[in-house]
Amino acid sequence: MNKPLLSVRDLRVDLNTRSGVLHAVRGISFDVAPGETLCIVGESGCGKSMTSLALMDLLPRVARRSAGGITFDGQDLTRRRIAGRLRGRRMAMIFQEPMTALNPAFTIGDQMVEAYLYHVGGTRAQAVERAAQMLEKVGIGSARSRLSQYPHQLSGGLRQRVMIAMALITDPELLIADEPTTALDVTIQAQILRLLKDLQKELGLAIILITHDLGLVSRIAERVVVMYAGAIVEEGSAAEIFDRPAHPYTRALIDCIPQPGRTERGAHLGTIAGVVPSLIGPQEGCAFRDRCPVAQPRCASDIPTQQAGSHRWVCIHGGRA
Amino acid sequence: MSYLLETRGLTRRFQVSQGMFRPKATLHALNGVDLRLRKGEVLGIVGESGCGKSTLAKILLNLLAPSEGTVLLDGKDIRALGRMEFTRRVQPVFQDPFSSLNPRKTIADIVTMPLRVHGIGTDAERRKRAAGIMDMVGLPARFAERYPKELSGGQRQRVAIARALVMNPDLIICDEPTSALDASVQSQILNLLMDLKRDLGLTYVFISHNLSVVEHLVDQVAVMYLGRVVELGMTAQVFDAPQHPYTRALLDSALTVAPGQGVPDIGLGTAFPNPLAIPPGCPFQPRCPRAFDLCAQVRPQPVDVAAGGAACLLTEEALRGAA
Repeated sequence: MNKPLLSVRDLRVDLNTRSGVLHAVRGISFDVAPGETLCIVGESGCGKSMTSLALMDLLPRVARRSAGGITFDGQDLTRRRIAGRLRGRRMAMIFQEPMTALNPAFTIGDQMVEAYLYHVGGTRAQAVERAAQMLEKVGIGSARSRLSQYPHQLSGGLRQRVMIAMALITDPELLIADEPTTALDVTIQAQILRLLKDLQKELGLAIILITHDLGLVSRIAERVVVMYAGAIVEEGSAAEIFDRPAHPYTRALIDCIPQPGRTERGAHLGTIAGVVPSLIGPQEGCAFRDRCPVAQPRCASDIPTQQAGSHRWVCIHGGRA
Repeated sequence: MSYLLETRGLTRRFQVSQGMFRPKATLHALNGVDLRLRKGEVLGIVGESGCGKSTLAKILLNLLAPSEGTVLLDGKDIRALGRMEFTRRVQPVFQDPFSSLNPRKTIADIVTMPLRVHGIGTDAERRKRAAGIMDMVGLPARFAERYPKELSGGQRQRVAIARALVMNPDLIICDEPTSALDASVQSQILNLLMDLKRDLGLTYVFISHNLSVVEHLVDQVAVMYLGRVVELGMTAQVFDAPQHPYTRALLDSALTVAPGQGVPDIGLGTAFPNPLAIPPGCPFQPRCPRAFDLCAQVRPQPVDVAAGGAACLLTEEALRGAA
């Protein structure tokens, strides 16, 4: 792998709750190369959204971040001043619900122009020009007149296009997208994802996409990180994760979803027995062992990370157990 | 052959405010929907937001009156049935198990509520029946005295299903029953719904935007677009050989697990379906990759509820050509 654009080492997010410290992210490490798409996938509470917020320094007040190191293009993101300079400019983020991320009281033009002037500077006329250019880039016709519209005048799909245009207005190198299409209809989702992929190619953009949707991941990811209970359990290329999943959790998760053509219609779907363990307090051994069909007594002690090329998984079993 | 559920020409209009000084606009949420469902079958309803599927669910649950048309349950108009008789036979399972359960009631209270409303049995008998149903849907007996907030999303959806089943209904209307759930929980609920259908001979109307789930679970499927059924048929027919260009686009855009295949180009423009301004001719024509000049003028024939098929000028043309 060439020099990573983003490098995360031993990232932890802790939340103070009344019943104790909740470890939402438990020491995860990963790299993102320039221009690549990394998908972070997992179920509710696995820490995927906390990870993305931690990278952008947008964590809620009750959360504490600590890390062995987070570097963006060699610069130390854990230092406030450096992060402030990079965030919004060289790394941008889009969220699931574009209606709540856009300010309903301002036109989309005002909001895009403000973002540009704040991060890049220049004159207002330049900013307006750039905003219109970005709207066209994301496939919004008659861009000039759209600039004077308010968010509520746009459909969900158009709003998400505006979000993407706004995020990319500063020409960032990294885009973090947290469930960007979950609130959209499938037809609009396909269009937005194609747009993201086209823009990625055109702009050489690296994308971290956070999602729970395995189908989506299989279609757009170059590399996949699977999270469970705040930790990474498996990492690999899309082909490795979907064709040769090594961790029992990844395998079980894939079996849960009906796959047209592969799953027999009306047949029982795979399930994962039990529930996710509490994230409060320390976790000894494998967090999945209580639900795992191939668990052994030694799963309660330290679990080795196994590796085959770029494919890594945290399990006592090697590959197909 | 009689049908457990039949809708005839269901139409529902809403008056929507356009702003303080502007005249109200008419929104056609449903426009002449004909559907039929036999006992023991599962009918899937799919479509994008604004297609009218939730309005349809409300009308089928007798929570909303249609502007025109009727819903027949065993041949009788549901508006003429008493509220009590209707709710004994038809029950809902909604999308969000967080807002559909009363947070101040225990699980046992929630599940026995319909029995109390209908005055069925003594307190002890009701509790016994609730315990039996809870066991059937996979809820441990110790949950009886707990409150909804102590339960996970999947467990809450099991409570909602238990409450629906406690009256021993004929028909369950499931409106996006697994959309709020994680994949591993969704599969448990889908398995449960399939088992219950088999064991109790239940009939479902299953409304969902998740095409893989619908394909997996239902016997026949109705594809809706802007308040109309645009394609109707058996699951295998519709999913394996879709006739309507909209059905095709919808199926193509579903992101099934297929590493390396990329995101499909479905060829729909960025035009957004607006239920306030349904275009003349075929409602899908502004987005349709296969539209021709006639599509903007002539409205396709509605789908024949007996034979199924697509409401599309292309198929009408093909049929005429064959005749």
